[in-house]
Amino acid sequence: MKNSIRFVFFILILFSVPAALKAQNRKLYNMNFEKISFEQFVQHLEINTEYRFYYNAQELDSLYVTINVTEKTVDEILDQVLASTTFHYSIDPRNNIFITKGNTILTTLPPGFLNKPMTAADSLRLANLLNERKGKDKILSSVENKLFDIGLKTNETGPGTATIAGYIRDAKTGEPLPSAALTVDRTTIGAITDQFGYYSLTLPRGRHVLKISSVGMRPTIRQVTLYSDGKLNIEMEDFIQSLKGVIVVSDKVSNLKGVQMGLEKLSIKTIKQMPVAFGEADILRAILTLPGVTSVGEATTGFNVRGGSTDQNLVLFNNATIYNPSHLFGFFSSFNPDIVQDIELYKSSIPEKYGGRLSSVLDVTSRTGNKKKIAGVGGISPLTSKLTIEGPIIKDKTTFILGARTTYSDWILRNIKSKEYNNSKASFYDINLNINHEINAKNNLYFSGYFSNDVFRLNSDTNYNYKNKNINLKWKHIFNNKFYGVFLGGYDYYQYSVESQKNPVNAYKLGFDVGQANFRADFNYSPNPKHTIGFGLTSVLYKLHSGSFLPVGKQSLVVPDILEKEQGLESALYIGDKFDVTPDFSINAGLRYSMFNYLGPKTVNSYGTGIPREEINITDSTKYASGKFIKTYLGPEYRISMRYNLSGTSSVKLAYNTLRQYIHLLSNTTAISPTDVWKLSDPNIRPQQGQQISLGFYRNFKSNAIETSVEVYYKTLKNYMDYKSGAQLILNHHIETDVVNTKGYAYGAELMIKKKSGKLNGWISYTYSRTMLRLDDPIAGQSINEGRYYPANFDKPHILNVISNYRVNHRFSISLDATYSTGRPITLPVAIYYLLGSQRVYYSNRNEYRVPDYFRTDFSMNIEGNHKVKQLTHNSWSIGVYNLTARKNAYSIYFVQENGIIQGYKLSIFGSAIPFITYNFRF
Amino acid sequence: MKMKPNIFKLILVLMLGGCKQNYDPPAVTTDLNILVVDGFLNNDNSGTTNIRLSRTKKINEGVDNAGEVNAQLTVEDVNGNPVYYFSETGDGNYAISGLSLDINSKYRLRIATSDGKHYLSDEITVKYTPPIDSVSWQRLDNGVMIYANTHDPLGQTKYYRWDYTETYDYFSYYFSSIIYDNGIVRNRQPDEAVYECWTSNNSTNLLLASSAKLSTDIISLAPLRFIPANSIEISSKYSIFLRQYALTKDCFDYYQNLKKISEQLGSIFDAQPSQLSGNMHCLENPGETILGFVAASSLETKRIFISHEQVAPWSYALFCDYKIKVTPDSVDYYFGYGAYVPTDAIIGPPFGTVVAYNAGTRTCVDCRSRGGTNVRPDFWP
Repeated sequence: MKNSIRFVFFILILFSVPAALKAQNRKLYNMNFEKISFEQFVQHLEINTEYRFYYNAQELDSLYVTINVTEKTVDEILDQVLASTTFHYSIDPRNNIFITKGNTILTTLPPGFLNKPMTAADSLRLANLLNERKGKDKILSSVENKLFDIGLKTNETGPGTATIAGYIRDAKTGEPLPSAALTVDRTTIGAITDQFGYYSLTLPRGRHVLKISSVGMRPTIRQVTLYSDGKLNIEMEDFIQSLKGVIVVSDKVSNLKGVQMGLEKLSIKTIKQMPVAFGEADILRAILTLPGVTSVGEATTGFNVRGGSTDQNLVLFNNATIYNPSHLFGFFSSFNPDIVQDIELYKSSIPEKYGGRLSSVLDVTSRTGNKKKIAGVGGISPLTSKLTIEGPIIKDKTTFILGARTTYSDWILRNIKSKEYNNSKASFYDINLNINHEINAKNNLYFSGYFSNDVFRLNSDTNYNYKNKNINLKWKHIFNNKFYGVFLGGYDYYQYSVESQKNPVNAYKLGFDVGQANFRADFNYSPNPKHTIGFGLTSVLYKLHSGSFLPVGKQSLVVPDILEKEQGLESALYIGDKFDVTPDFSINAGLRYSMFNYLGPKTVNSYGTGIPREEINITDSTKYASGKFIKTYLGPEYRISMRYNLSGTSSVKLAYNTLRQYIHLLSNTTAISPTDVWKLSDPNIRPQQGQQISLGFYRNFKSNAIETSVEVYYKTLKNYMDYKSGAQLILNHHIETDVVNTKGYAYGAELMIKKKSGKLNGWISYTYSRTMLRLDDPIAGQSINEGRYYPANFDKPHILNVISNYRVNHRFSISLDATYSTGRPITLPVAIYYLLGSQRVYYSNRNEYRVPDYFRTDFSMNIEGNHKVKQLTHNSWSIGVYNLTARKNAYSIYFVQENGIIQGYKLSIFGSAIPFITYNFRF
Repeated sequence: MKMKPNIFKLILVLMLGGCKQNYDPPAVTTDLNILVVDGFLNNDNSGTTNIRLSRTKKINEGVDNAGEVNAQLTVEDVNGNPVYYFSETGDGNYAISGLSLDINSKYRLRIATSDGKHYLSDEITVKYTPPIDSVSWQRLDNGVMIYANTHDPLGQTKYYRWDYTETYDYFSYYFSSIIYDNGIVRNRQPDEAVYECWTSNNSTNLLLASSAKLSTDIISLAPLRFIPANSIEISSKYSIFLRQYALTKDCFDYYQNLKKISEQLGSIFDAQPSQLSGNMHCLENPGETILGFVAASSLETKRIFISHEQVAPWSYALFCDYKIKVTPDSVDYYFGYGAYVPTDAIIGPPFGTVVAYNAGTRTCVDCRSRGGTNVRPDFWP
């Protein structure tokens, strides 16, 4: 037991029975040595007495002992031997002797541990001791040293396993911490908390050390003796930077040990460090820096994951589907950064509990509110301002968080000197409200509401407006430590309208909306340490008002044109098991069986088979009664992933999954436009289907401080939506005649090096990816690029992102990000001709050219105010420059006729360096 | 109804730095040489039908000299019998006068090109074009907007296209009564006056409107032309001559798409450029692309005038230097190269001879130097 570390002493100490410190043993010894080594001295004593010595041999290898005593106690002998040295000794009641340098080991616990009142002397001793430790690890270390007895205490822990479960929370605010990782010392057993901060961990009975880590929190440990099933709630301290000697290592090794592939997590802290145009931390901008995520250009609403189109991403905000996740045509994402806790993007192995979209799931979780006191955060940036208030309603039972954000871009537009913009306006706001209520230890209720509104008018008399409305209620019930369920009911709604009243004769209002009523029940069952089973069912009832065109005002001659509404029911059953076959091999196998019913009332057209789907080829038109199942699509979706640990620092993973999508965004513009509409699958429009296989290799270096990964994937897409030339997508009574089915495939490799801790942190990611589409559908009537494969709009083969943050000190950090990508494909004209009074251009093959390559660097400085605990507000500033090099990156290249002459233009959205400054405060 | 907002402009403002730059397309090596049919069958027996055949050129070549010559054009009835023959007027233009098509019947256009290929249109419906109700205009803060108004009491037109020729007059800064002519300065003849000129331009944008979504076939205030405030167009008098055509739905869709891909690009929400097929087909090679859509309709026209007083205040200004004085021995030097133009003679004592000529720069004296002609149009009041 030489070279023991102090830590082990403490454990031993915890086992000891309380007793006096020294001189309790009266046995006497004789000794006479001349200059023997300390080791020999110890050997002698261990042979002749019942004492055992624990010490660091290296520290004592230069100590020689000369002693000549008769009838002395061990204490007296040691007092003499160590008198002139800096070493101390202590003896516990089991006759263990600890030799330490500098400090004396306490062989008894501070009385506080035994729930006895501390004596004044005790507390003084403890205080002195803690002072000696220079205040390090003050509070939590005592909890870390405490041994928790879980379950009914018996003198023997017994064989078999038991389950610990509980919540992991922020010690300061009492907020639950989702995605916190628990690992058990010296095993591969681990658990991750769910969105409510809840975990469940089944372990062999006996002694364990649990390591707990969470992004942005100080890692902590808990020592437990597991007797039977029980509860353990854990509180974690916020990580306040740079206490010397503490290394932040959060989510350590979870990249290796998790079975999930292609899962990207970002904490709001990371997102807030990243420089963005206008200084408003932006979730959608942040995920664009992750490997495998691209978009057609900056300031566009959508994002594309591994070759999927923008409507193939399921964007969830507290389980609510957000149909339009952006404000101001894509300049801002609709998530208030002060509300968001963290985001997860699943791009490869999508858990079986999710479905309905082909490419990815973006799961945004909001915070739940401070449990202990009323607090607030706010911020002011050049275009927006925001305020969030949170706190307890009933102490330790009910909390709320309410956030609101708005813009004054309207005001800016009004103040622009140019008359051209005086008639323009653009504004938005969004409001979040979450209320959490703990009914009792086993039942929790979570309410979440979200509302966003955008209005804009562009030097015209046409007003655009769109809204997201989401509301849901979750009930979490813990049946027992191994089994819990979450039940959700909610309603998601998206609506837009376009209105013009300039010309009374043509005054109109165009409207569209989609609503979905959701129900889901998710269960989680962890029968033993090897299995974690998730199962459940979901049901979504869609109702779409596919379009209406109505007159406004008495003079309007507009004929009301209302498309028939459509309804559909999407249901799914799923079950999945995470099975740890061996400590090094885990498999996650899931099956989702999804079904879609297209519901009446509705009139459906039939077309002749194999002939172009044109209005003139309608063979029949059938009216279906309300609630009638017009068409049912169903099928299994497989979600399989596995992980094998090659060593403690590397692992390899393989995943395969299939997905189906029953609701589609009709958009034939390059970027999502505010007037795009959603459409359900129907007898003429088949569900989109996709499958993906991916393989990854993960390796960590420098005791997991540096993570590296390589992932490759291949993906096929079926019934991908494309459109005929000149397709009419809005107010089309037979949209199927303008829609064609496209096939596609995508493949790529993603490399990432990530350093999460240390003064310098960040990541470098490189992605090589291709997405090719092909239209050879005979019913299309007309093909694109003669039925050959062509690159998708967002096909950017090379993408390199560098995200770096350097923390100079507690209060000052700088971030520098750079991004490079191949230019996106565009269709350029190949010929010029004269027609109808002007030069015109002829476009031939789609996406044969590319805009110039994209390169941008951004810089920001984050300055925190002082860290005094007691002050009115805690302030921070963010100052930076977006597009530091002022490069005019091309968004598009287009050709227009001007005065009869064709002129080519390169359009850049950000044509210069854009400085920004943001002020944030907390109270 | 304009669905795509001009978001680009707003973004420019928000960014205070967004920009568009000129872009030269990559050189395309293949010459596609696609046949373009430009024109409509003018069912107005007093008018002329002009159809121009041309070929596409490489994008950086321009469209000059693209005319397709030596082709035969005929109008056929539904039974395939030729009813009218076009005559070639040069540079790919083919003309015919006094077409009189039966509005209840259908026709085809047949083209035989000199390379031996034959092209035939789909059946062309002959549309009746209702009269233009009015060409109205409105003085806005930043200019003048001109609109078309029309209606079809029978409700059968629904799809409309317009084009126009605008003409305006403008004046020189200095009046000139004399002219430098081959070394001598003499008085101007009436046809040599350069004080007032007229400029004419044809519309270049596709002007389309539809009443398909309205209960009555009425087009109210369809925007035609915006004239920015204080521009030369209404510095004196402005005239617009509007031509109105009724279209079939197919033709309207074709033009609408053409407009979209050649005039309405440049926003974030651009549509993918795509090409619709027109109504001409090659008989030898059915897959061959032919650009253009041949329609048939009668023609309605209307002319209005807008004078400077009606839109006041409208302050168009040409900035000119003071006149210079040119002595008779220097006239070749000053007037020979055309940089200066004499305006009047200074007669001095003692003998009443010309001691010098007042002169201004050519732009300030000769209105033709600013693009117009000094020939007064017939219709000018």
